[in-house]
Amino acid sequence: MFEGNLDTNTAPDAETAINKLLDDGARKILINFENLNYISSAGLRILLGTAKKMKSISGTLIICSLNQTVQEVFDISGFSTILSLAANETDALASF
Amino acid sequence: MQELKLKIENNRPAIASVIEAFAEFTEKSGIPMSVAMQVNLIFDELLTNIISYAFPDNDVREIGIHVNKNDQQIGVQIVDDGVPFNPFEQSEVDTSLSIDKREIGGLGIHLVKNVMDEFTYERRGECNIVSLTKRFNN
Repeated sequence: MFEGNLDTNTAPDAETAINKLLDDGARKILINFENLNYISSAGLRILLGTAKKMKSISGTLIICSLNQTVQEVFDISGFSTILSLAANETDALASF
Repeated sequence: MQELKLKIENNRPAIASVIEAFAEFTEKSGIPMSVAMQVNLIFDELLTNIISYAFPDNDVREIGIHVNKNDQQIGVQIVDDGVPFNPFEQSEVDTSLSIDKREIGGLGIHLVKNVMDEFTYERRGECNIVSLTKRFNN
C-alpha cells in the first residue's frame, strides 16, 4: 500500500520496494492507492517499468482504489488503458 | 486575493518543502483538494525539469515560486535564472502506445498541459518564467 505522494522524491523508495517483491519471485502484485494523494510522472515511470517486467514474466499487476486526481493522471497519460485498474481491493483480488 | 511566495535551492529534496508550504497555504485559503493535488503535480513536474535542465553548471541556484489565489482561480509562477529553457517545447507524447512501446519522456509536461487551464513560458532578461492558471469549477 502506498501512502502520501508518489513523486520525484518518493519514487526511488517505491521502486526499491517493488523490485524486492520481484526479486523474491512475485508473479502477482496488487498496489493499493487508497491512501495515495497524487502521482507524478516519476511515479508513472516506476509503474511502467514494473508493468513491463511483469509482462515479461507473464505476471499480473493490478492497481486499485485510485482517487479522482490519480485517476485523472492515469487517463491523461493513457496509463488507464495499458494498466489493469480496479475500484477497490475486493474487485482487484477477484481479478487475479 | 491570497498569496504565497517562496524561494528554494535547485535540488530535488527542496521540492518537498514547496509541497509542504503549499499544503499550509491550501488549508488557510480554502483551495479545493482536487485542485491542490493538481498543483502539487505541476510543482513536481516543472521543478524537477528546471532542476534537471536549467543549470548545466551544477552551481547552487535559486528558484522563485509565486502563488496567488482569488475566488475564481489559482495562478502559479515559477522563475529561475538558468539557461533559456522552455519546458513546453517538448515533443508530443503518444498516449495510445502499448506497454511494450510506451516511454516516459515528455510525460510530465504532457500532464501539466492537460491538468492546467493555461500555461505560458516567457524568457525575460536572464530569467525563465513559467506561468500557469487553474480555474475552480463550481
